[in-house]
Amino acid sequence: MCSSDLSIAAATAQLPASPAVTAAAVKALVAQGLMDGVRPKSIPVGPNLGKSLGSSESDRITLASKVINETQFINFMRELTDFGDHQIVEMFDIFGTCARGGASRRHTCTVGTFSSADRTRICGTDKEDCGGIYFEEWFLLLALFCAIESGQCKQFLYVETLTRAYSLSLSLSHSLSLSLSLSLGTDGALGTDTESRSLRRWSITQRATR
Amino acid sequence: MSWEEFTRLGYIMGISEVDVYAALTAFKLDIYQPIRYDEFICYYFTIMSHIDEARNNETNASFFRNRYKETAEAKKEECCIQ
Repeated sequence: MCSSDLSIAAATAQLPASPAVTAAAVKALVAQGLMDGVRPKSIPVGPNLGKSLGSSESDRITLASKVINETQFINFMRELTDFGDHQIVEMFDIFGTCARGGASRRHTCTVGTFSSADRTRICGTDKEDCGGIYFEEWFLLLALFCAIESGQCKQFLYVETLTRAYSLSLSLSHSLSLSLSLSLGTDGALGTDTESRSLRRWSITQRATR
Repeated sequence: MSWEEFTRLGYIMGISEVDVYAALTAFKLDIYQPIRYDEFICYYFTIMSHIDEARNNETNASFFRNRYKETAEAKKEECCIQ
């Protein structure tokens, strides 16, 4: 027991202290073509592309505020799946519409009307309707497809019930064997500082027990 | 949550309402009753286990098919060489 605790503590000490996404991690994602629609502003483009970024506060990137519009989503889904255009547009409406309740401008996320606690668990903090898909929803969708492809839907659902959107990075790392630091960095981008720390411990425990 | 809202996740995964209902016949589901969160998780756990099973069987089947094909091709090559 002591040795496993020690190894977990040692692994935790090696993790990056800041939960925010590093510019290098996002640049790697952009290079892989995963984030063409959500290119963060703080990454230098054009003549400045490839120049090293400083570690000042302005270089901190929050992907949670990035939005994918309908055209980008349709292109993305056309490449990823064999859904028809009408199905993709309907899917976009599921993700990007307001609650059908009249005065309420609360974001219903994917799965309808739960109690407030459940909605918070599933959808996180409510966001105003922006006519697009937020990064965390897009990433959840990507994680779902990855889970289907790798035959690990149950694991996706299980982790999803434990932790809402952070499960995507865990599912992804399980499905695609992505690096732990990359997935943890994406956790931080979703603005979940305290819970992502507990998740780090959880994922490290999972790896340690394998 | 209503039945329409319940089937949205299945729709995103490419499963029609009819297939979702067919997968849940063992639960004697009444689609006119609202669905609670724990029921939602339980039902989708069932559906996703079906998907996982089919996917893994497909992977295994294709693996053995490829293996058989490779073996057959290797045998052919051996015959040609001889």
